[in-house]
Amino acid sequence: MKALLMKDLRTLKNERRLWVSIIGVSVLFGVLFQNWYFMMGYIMFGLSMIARTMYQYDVADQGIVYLMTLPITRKEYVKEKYLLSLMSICIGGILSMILTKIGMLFTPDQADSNQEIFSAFLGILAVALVLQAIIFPVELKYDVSKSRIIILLLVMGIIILFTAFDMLIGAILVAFITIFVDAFGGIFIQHFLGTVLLSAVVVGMIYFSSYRKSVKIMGQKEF
Amino acid sequence: MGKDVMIKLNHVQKKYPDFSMDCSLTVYPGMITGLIGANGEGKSTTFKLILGLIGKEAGEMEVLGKKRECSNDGKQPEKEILQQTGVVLAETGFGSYFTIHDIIPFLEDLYPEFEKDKFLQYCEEYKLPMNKKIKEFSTGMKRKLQIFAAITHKAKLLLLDEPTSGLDVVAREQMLTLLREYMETEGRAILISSHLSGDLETFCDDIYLIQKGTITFHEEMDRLLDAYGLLKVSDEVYKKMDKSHIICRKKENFGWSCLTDQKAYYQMHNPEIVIEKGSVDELILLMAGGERI
Repeated sequence: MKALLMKDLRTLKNERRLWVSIIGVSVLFGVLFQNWYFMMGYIMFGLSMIARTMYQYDVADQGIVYLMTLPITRKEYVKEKYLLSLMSICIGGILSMILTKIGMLFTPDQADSNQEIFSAFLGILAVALVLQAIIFPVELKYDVSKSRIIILLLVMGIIILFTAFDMLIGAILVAFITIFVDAFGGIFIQHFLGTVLLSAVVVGMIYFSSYRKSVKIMGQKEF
Repeated sequence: MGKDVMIKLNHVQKKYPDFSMDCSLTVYPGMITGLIGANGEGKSTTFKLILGLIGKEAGEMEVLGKKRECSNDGKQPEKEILQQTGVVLAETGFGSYFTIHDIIPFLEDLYPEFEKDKFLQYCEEYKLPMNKKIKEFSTGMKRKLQIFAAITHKAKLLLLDEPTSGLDVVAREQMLTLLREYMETEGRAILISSHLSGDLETFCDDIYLIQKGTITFHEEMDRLLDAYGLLKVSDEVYKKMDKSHIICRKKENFGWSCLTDQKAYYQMHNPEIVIEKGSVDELILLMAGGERI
């Protein structure tokens, strides 16, 4: 797995202009719109694409076929991609938290506490990991162009589902959520650590399930 | 399955909608075995089955002493087997975005016995650009790079699918010389496929011919070149001649072309018949376009 990680990090180094541009553009957005959490999200979601992009590089020119003839198990290949994804999102998150804190020094009226910044990071981290958990197995199973269509359909499906839900029982749902938040919201705020741990377990389970699914898909793939 | 076998395929089957394989072949230590056949007959599929890139549906397979089962999850060879195998596959290779310097640490980590100095020496000797991205290499350069990577980690077995395609005459001979040097160490073997029959005739110890996914012919190269011959006869001569040593025949404008494995017999008993030397090309043409007797 070390060889695979070295390979991907070498590719990242060779293509560093792309990733630096993503960070640069997000900082620009943050400065222009004075919205540091947007910048944080942009950096983290942008860098979450790294592992999938490395997979697409491997697929290009049939390089992955050659990789599979080397002493690399398919499980190792998937493990490395998931680890790379986690690393890149976390590193992106830490970088974006630092940039957010610096940005807020220049906009004191928008300055939030460290806990609030950290909470935003955790929230975006959770969403980025769950999205990765959904998207990566789809990209592994289908070729790049087909998987983009499937992911687009999935997103559209979710939007339609939520819209339909909202139209049919939206008012009831809002009332329920309001009652729930009033009743239990305080508990989540007071027991911040507990909430974080519970969310980490749930997100961790989703990510791990996705990893296991991807290992199975990769094991059955024919090249 | 015997002990001294590098590869043993026994009715290994694989089915596709428009093609099916049922392949049996054996590669022994110390041997260079050629796999020949027209395009689309199953050469690359055979390599992919051995490497676990695709799964077999039936049959027995043994590679470097390890059996492989049928299940989808079990189709990939063990890592230790792949560490002892060097591979050149047509139309694949290292990622385009790397330079040779980039891939060296990668190979060092994958292969405990990677010979970095030898690899670098080959790259320098055959003038591969060390700092250019592989996507900027010519086809021949990419092929050479794959060959160098395959022969510089003390592999016991080389699987070479069209290793000399894209190389000019001089480069082809240079690479074949390297592969002969590789074989000087005991206990090694090569399974090689090529469209360039001239390469195989001077290189291989034995050859298998694959047609429509099945092995239809196997012979030692020395015997193919010495004892086999191509008879060119008219219809009248064909009617009268002894056909017991004819393997296959093909109708021509002048009469018949016949492949025999007893060229000396016909030289003695039918000296009037035009007999050409046996070759891999003639074998493929007759077996593909003719009919077996």
